[in-house]
Amino acid sequence: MQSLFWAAAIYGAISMWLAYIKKKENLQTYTAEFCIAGYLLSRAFVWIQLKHLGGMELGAWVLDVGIFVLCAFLAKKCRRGFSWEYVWLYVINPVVLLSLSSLKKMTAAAGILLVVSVMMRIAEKAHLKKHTLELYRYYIGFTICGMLYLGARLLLGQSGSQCVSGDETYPMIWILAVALTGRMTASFLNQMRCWKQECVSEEQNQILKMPENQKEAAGEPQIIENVGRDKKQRTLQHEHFTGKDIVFLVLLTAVYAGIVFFRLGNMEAPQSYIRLHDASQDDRQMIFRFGEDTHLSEIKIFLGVKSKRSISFSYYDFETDRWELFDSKRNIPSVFTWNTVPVDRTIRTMAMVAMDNEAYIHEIVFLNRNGKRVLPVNWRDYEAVFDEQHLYPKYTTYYEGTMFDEVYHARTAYEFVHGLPVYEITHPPLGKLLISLGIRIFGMTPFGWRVVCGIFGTAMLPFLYLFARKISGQRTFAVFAALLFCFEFMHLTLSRIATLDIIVAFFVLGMFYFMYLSIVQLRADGLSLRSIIYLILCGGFSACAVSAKWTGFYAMAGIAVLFLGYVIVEYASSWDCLMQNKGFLLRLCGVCVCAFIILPAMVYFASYIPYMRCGNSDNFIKIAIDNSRQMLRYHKNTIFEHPYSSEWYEWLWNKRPLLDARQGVDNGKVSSVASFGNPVIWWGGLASLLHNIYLWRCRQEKTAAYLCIAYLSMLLPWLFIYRTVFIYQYFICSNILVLLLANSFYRMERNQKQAMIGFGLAAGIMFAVFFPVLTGYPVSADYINQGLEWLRSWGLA
Amino acid sequence: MERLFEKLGIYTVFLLLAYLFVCSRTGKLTQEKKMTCIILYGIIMRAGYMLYTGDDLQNYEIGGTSGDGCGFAVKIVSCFASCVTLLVTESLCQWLKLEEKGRILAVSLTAFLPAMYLAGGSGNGDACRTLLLLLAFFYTCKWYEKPSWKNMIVLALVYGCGIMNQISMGVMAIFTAAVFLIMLWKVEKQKLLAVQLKKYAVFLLINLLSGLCYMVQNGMLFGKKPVYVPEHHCGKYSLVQRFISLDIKNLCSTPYADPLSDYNLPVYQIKTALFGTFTYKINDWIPVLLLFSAVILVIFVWAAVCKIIRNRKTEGFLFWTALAFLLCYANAIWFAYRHPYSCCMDFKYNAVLGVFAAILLGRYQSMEQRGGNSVLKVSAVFCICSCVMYLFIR
Repeated sequence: MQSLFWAAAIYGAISMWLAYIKKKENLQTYTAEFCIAGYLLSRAFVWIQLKHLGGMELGAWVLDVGIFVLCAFLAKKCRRGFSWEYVWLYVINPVVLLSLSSLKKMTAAAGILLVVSVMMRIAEKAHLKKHTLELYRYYIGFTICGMLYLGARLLLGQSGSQCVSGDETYPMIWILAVALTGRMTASFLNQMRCWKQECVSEEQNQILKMPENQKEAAGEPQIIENVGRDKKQRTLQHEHFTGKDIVFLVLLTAVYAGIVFFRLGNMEAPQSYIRLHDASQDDRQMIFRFGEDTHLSEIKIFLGVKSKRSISFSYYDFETDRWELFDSKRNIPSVFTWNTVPVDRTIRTMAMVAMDNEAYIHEIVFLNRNGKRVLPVNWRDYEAVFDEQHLYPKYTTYYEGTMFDEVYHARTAYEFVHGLPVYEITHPPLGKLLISLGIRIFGMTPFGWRVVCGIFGTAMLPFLYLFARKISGQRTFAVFAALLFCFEFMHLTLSRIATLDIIVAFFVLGMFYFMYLSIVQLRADGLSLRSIIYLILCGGFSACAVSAKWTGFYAMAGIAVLFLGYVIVEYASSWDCLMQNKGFLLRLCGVCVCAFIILPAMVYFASYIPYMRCGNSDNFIKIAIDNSRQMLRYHKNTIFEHPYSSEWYEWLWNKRPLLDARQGVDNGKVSSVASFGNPVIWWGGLASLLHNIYLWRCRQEKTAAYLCIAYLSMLLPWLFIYRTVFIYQYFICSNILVLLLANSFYRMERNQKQAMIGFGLAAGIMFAVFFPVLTGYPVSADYINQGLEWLRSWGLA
Repeated sequence: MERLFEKLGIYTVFLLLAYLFVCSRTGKLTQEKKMTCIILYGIIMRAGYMLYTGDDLQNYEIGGTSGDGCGFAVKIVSCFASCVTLLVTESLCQWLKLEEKGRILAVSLTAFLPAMYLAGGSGNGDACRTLLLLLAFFYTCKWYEKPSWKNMIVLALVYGCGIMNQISMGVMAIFTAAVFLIMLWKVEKQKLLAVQLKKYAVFLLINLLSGLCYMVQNGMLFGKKPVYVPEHHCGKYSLVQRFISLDIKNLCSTPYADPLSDYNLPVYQIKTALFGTFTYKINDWIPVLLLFSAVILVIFVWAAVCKIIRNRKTEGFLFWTALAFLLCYANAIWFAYRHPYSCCMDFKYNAVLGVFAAILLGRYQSMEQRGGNSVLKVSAVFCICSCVMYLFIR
């Protein structure tokens, strides 16, 4: 319900704001087709979210359809002053949308409908056309009241019955909604009375002043002309790509690479291991003799490829002459990192027995009460687990082992390298195959499994630079966008962790970039070789994105909307136009099928070829299909409680960062790595999104339209996804936010340079201030708690 | 006895309202009459609250001396200070040349701000501090306009009494010191500079003698520290969460402040300005409307501050009022930062902020056509809710 509420609120707020702006600027572009399409789309959205369809809901839907049809009829016949703009106001009303989806809230919808019809009718009756802007304000005001009321009722469970003195519940939002509604109603009625008097007197005055022949016509309503305010559009001269661009690009990329690879991960990690398996009792156990009574505080175990191993620990009691268990089933959860087993007892001989079929132990470190390493006297019996003792760090931060989902992705990459059965099958394999390249070169070390993501993260920067350069044609804006991208928190964090998101984001950015180039090229010289290459590159990037993570599909849907929209507007806006361009469209269709269907399918299936080496099956196509089915099942049912999970609408304002790693170190310092956005970029980005929507809808600015569609296409699908999700899913959208910001600044008409410098500085300062929690650099816990946790939900240390 | 005063208070209110009504019907309702009624009603509220809360309420504030009449005496002083604050506010508004409507608005908000009448009935130094801080600001401005010996001595005495009352009076000293420096900068001739410095020396002498004697005596005889802060630590919250962001969730969950768990300064200040640290058994409508109208007024106050700073060249001493407001707010942040305890954020320690805010709103309503009307309407809701809430206080 919360998701739907926020979706309706955001959609309604933006649509009403646009309607108001259009009204203000006399841009009345509402047509019957537009309103009907909007109605069908918005209702389809609510219909999909509808969980139950009983009599109550059916009644609501029938009423809604009836009112829409009535409004449309009135608009078509121009009766009672109705025009399509009023129909549109009804279509976008979020209170009506919410009323359709929730039970028993038809009262609110009916109230709003009453308000709409009464307001518009009175407006027409009283010949108050000059006051329609004021009426819009009232309409928006009443809608806000309605949303507050529904929010109080549906989300917070508040009602009038709670307004009792002495109890502990305070229905504050409900009271606010009711009080505001009362205030608005009183003000509206008063205003109406004033206007009516004003209009009557004005009308009388005009009639008195008019010549006789005009007086007869005076009673007829005036038609407001669509004047359309022409605002001066900012146009800067297009700068060519020169050596300067290359210098900037190389410099920025080099500096950023330095930041990404700074303390990326240790280049060493325990490699040799002992495999405990269930061939016999002896093969599953290890016995360590210390020679004398030794106090052990804890045992550190660097676990190999199999996770969540259960191990029992016992010691030999020389007084009773028996083995005594002190930890019968200790879970050793994380692979390729140091796991802690608390002991705190004096031991002379101890045994470790693997309770699972198989366990890989890379290294074991025994620590005494002073935190010093202790070697058993018989360590040579198990040399493989005691030969890299120097690799045990004093504090096991992200630097020495896996963090967050690396336990899945780095591990699976390792399995690909060694031809082991693949563990992680909830995402397609391409991303993990790419990660495995780093492991092949640098070994199974933190640096090895992160290096590829670091490269992809760094490589996104030139792409973004080129994209911004293409959009604006200006070097300044490209540098500005690239700088903002450098300062983006999540970009840095995800570049330094071996997960799939940075890889997908790279390919998605490439997709949008090449699609943009394709459209520009198609517009310039039709279906030339260059545009075909761009289309195929776009298809190739789409293929890689989808083969790395299914979120690539959302981006594909986005480019499909963009491309189809472009083709329809340019080449198929009418039947004649379609017939005229038939040959061209057929050729284009052929290229698109190759680029966006055949190529992605080939890459997707080909990415499963390494599975055959891992012994799963000989038919990689069958593996791909089976795996895809499993993925679908998994993602449908993955709903669980997680302290860092967040809803899609919470991502927008950066509500809940994801803590990837946290470890206390010396002197009250903490090393923590958190995934979240730069507040300046994310919050500023929302404002720029609104600005770009305005540019798109009111100024018909094509780049703004392109970017907005790109952003929305990757955000909207999350409305329909019910699995547990995290803030990093928003990363791809946040990349577009940077471009939206650049476009907003590019279109600014005043103080452009100062605004850019101010904004860039603010983002840079934020980056510097938050740098420790993005990279795991140890800093005082007080600094994080007191200085960085801006919101209550930000648990960064 | 208490019931008698309560009834007397209510009857007086009705009488005042009836008088206003008759005046308005006969066309004799002048702005001066309105002002007089508001001040009268403010005084009645303060006296009433002092009388019917008894002297055993909050007896920790008077060192457990309830029952011996001492507490009551202390409260009379507080009530007197709170009433005088109203009159000083009116004078200040007049001196600042606020328009009639603006003056009435400023005095109404000061009269009906619950923190002001609650302070009037409390046995502590809060009401006195508010009065003395206001006087310090007033006389600093007056002295700047007319640097006479009279104004200088009054200012010195005000500071002396203020420091004797509570050392936190020091916040306004920053403002006065800045004004002194400006004056010194303006003095061009050597001879005049010497005269000016002599004046400052006299000011300092009077100030220190009257201000520190009580504190030194307390320290020598009883070993008391000049600052006392009880410890209710407000947890590990970041500076942004405590001082900059608005805790909207808290704001929209209860109208009352919770001294043991609240941590957000702006919200805590608004809540304690309205209800102190108490909860009342009133129908939820009243406190909720009071709170939301206060929030809207606070937004207008910040708009007024921005507007006045922007027009600083034409606003004269109103610009200084805005600066004093910012100084007091910065002091509230600094104090809460130094002593990270919820109780340190209580509005009663910064009640003078309320007076400055009221004056700024008084100016704002005449600066902005649309915003000014809204300020008047919201202020009316605020005052009515405050009056209704007053009747339910026990």
